[in-house]
Amino acid sequence: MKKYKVLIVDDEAPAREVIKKFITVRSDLELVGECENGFECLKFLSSEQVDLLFLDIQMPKLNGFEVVELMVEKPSIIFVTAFDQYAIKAFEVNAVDYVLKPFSKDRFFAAVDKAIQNFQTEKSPVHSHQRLAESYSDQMDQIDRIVVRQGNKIEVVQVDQIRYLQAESDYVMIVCEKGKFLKNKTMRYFEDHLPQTEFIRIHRSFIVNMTFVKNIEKYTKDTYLAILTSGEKLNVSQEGYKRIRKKIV
Amino acid sequence: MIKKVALKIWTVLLIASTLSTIQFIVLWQGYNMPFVYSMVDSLATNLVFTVLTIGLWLNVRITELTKNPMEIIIHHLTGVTLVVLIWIYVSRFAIRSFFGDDAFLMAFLSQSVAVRVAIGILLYVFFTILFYLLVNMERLAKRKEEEANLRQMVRESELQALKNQINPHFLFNSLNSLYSLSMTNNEKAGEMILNLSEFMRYSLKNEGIQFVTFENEWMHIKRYLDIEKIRFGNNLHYEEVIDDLAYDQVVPSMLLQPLLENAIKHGMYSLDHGVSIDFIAKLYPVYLQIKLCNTYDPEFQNKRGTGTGLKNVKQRLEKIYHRTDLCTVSSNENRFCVEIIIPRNEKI
Repeated sequence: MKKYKVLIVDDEAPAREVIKKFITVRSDLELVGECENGFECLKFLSSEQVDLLFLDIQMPKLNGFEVVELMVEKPSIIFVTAFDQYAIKAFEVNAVDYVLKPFSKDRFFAAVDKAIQNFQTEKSPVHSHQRLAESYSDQMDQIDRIVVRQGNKIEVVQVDQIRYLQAESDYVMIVCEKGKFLKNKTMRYFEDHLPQTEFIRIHRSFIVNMTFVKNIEKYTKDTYLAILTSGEKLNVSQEGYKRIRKKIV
Repeated sequence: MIKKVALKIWTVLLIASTLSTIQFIVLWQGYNMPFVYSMVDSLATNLVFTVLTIGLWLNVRITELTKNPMEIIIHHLTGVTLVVLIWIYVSRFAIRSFFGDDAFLMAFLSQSVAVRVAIGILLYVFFTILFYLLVNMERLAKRKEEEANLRQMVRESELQALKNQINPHFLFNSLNSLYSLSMTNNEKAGEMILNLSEFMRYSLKNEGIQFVTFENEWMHIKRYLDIEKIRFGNNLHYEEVIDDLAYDQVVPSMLLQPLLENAIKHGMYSLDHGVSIDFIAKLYPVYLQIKLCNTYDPEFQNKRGTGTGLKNVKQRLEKIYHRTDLCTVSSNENRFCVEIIIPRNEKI
């Protein structure tokens, strides 16, 4: 009989205890680990096989959505939250399974059975998960931090530290004090979610944080160059220049 | 506004036309005066009086402003004298201009002066009373509307406060901890149920109450910490240093809870191995100093939803003690502190 390997990720010990107790009742589930936060979870996933993941949303440092954004592996995930209307909305929009704390054994088993079913029909959960963090941010006015992964290293970039963003084929390169990071999102996403008071799309390829712009020089007849305090020079298109003018006025 | 004025004008015109008709009948039939004369006399005198009611109205409004009964009496005595005099003379002038110096008619006018004066005074009294009634009806209606609005506002704010008291995050997370405890440790579960219910009771009880003893506030905070400790275990560490004499001091109720919520939120969720919270209460000659500090990691700060708890505390202190310097925030790279000063023995 196939045993599905389960990982519990929740910063609260009593919450983990509940799931552990429920798992012992089922012979088709095997608990392979417990993690207290997102970092431990990502580390665990990269070193051990996990079929099913119980993931709490509100956790120290990285929240559940950010963990999913950074995940390379593709286990089935059941999300857990006590009370977060925004999270619940994101779950419903993306049709991913979730349970509300406190949950009964029956509720727990129903979620597990559904995940196993999807597993067997090889329904890929990954695509719906990708959009989760976006659905969550969509409900807030703006994002204030971005999590990026470089190999096994994870960085949290505060939005006010970003100098500019540059389009790189399917990705976006985020340039800040800490360095340059690639993020699997579109320029449009950042245009919509970064604070519009500071960030302006000055060119098809560039979004700049105006707080780092020293001045703007004329380049050709219709285009300009934005000179940053760091010395970097970015192209400003005709459209982009209009946007800058509008913001300043 | 326009409706009210229109109403008044119509009332006066209605009464004036009624009086005019009565006067006409009295003159024509009672005194056997000529038809035309009776018409002119009654119309002219009542028209003039109608115009004069504006003065009556103003007089009523002016007397509203004083509370001195003598002043009011003097106003009205002056008013009645002026109004009646003006009325007699202007009506006489109007009739004279119409009929010329007819001796018979003039004699009639002079003879009827006494009656006209008496009627004038009666009309003055009648209209003045009518106007006072109208003014009071207006005031009553306005007061009723204001009271209804106020009651609505109070209901709304009570509802909002209730919603705020029952913090859903805290409630559901606590219930989940309780659920877990009920499976592993019945005795501890029992303890937590009692703690939680005492906590909720205090939150709801102190809705209208402004002040409590510091001891009550501290017990409430301690309950909160003990409930959260079940959730977080060793990830929540706290220490308190409280002056013995601080417990009897009077402080605003439910002031400290939002600060503690912030400390846990920012500390617990930015650090690797949990937050360390320090709670200090020191009594000084003129004030009670309360300090709440928590460790945190600024790099993992989630700025979302910050600021409102602290802002409310500041606003509340300002409203109660009329000072803006009672709440100060200080922080370095790994510790965040909020300090509150509560003046002692303030007459609120």
